[in-house]
Amino acid sequence: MTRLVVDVRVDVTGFGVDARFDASTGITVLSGPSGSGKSVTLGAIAGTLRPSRGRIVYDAQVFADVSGGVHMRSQQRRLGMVYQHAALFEHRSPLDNVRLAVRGKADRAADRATDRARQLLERVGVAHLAQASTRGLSGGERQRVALARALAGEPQVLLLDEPFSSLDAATRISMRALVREMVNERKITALLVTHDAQDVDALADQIVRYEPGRTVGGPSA
Amino acid sequence: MNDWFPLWLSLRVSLIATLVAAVVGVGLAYVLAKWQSRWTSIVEAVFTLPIVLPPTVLGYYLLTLLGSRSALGKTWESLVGSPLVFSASGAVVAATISALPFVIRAARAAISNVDTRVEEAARIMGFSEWKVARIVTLPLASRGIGAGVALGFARALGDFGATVMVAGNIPGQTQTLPIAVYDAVQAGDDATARTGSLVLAGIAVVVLILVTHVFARRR
Repeated sequence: MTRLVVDVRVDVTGFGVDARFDASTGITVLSGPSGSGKSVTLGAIAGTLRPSRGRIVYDAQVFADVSGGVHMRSQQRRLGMVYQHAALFEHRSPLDNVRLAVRGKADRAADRATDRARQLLERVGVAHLAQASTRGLSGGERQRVALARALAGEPQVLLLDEPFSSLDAATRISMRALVREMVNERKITALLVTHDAQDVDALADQIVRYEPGRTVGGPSA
Repeated sequence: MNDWFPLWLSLRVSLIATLVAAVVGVGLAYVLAKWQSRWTSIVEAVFTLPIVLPPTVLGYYLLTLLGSRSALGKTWESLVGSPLVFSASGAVVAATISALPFVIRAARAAISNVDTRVEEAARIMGFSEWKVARIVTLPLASRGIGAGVALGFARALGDFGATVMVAGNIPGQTQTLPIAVYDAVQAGDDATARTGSLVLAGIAVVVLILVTHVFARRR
C-alpha cells in the first residue's frame, strides 16, 4: 500500500504549522478550525510552499527534505488539485481545461488528449458542457470540471482544498459521492481539507485533526 | 492637406514603436510582476521616467545617448551606414521610449491581478513556467495589456518633443504629423493644421474607446 508521509513545519507570513501524519490509499481528511494550517500543509505537499523543517515523502519519492536540501518542483510531483473556487482557466473551455492537464508525451497528442478529456467530463457528468463558456458554469459544474482536470494527469496524490464549501447542500452531496467513486476507482491517495463535520462523516477513511498551528492525533507518522 | 507623407510616416513609426514597446514592455512587466526584489521598484521607476520627464528633456537625453559621438550612435552607424539621429529610425526609438512606460505599467498591473491560484494549478498540472505564462497568465491579463498597448500607440503617434529632438523636422524624411501640425501653424497654413489635428484627434478618440470599452470589459 502506497503511503504519503508528512512530517514538516511550514512557515508563512505571520503563521506556522507543524504537520505530522501518514496517508495511505483512500481519503484522508484534514479536519480542524479555519486558520489551523490545513491548506498551508496542502501547499507544502503541492510544492507551492517550501517547508522550513522536515520531509514529505510519497513511496520512494522525496517531495521535500529540508535537511537534505531537496525540493521537488510542483510539476514533477504528479498531483491533482481541486481548490475551493475551482481555479479553472476561465478563458478556455471546460474541455480545454481538462485536455491541457493530460500528461505524458503520447497522451498529449491532440486527439488522444481530447478523447481522454471527453471521457473524464463524461465520467464526472458534465460532458454536455465540454464547449460551454467556463465563466458561465455553476459552482457545482465548476467543481466537476476541476475534479476532471485534477484527474486528467493520472495523479498519484489528489489534493482537495475545501472543494465543497461553496456548494449548496444538494450539490455537495452529489460531489461527495463523485469524489468517493473517483478515489475508489483509481485507488489513489486523496487528502481532503474541510471543517465540515458532514464531509468527515461521509468521506473519511482516515482523519488528521488540526489545532491552530499543529496536527493532533490521527494516523501516526 | 496636400502632403500625406507626415501621416504615413507617423503611422509607420508609431506602429513599429508600439510593436517593439509591446514585446519589450510585456516581457519586462512579467519579470517585474513575478520576481519582486528591491531592484524591481528601481527598474520600474527608471522605465516610468519617460512619463514624467518633459518630452524635450527626454529627447535631449536620447540625443546625447544615441548621437554620432556616443558609443551607441557609433555602433549603429558602423552597422547601418548612416546616423541614427535625424532619421526615421531615430523617430522610432523616441516613440518606443515614450510608449514603453504605458505598456509596462498597464501590463504589470494586469499580470499581478491574475489569480495566483490559477497559475499554481497550472504548475501542479505540470506546466513549465513558460507554458504558465503563455497559456494562463498572459491570456488572462490580455485586456490590461491591450489597454496599455493602445495607450502606448496613442502616445507614440502623438509624440512631439522627444521625436523632434532625436529625429529633427526634415519634411519628407522625419517630419511626423504632430510636427507637421506645428509647422503648419507657424507658417499660417490653417487648413493643414486643422486637417492634421483632426486626424490625430480622431485616432486618439478611437484609442480612448478601445481602452474604456473594449479592453476594460470584464474578463
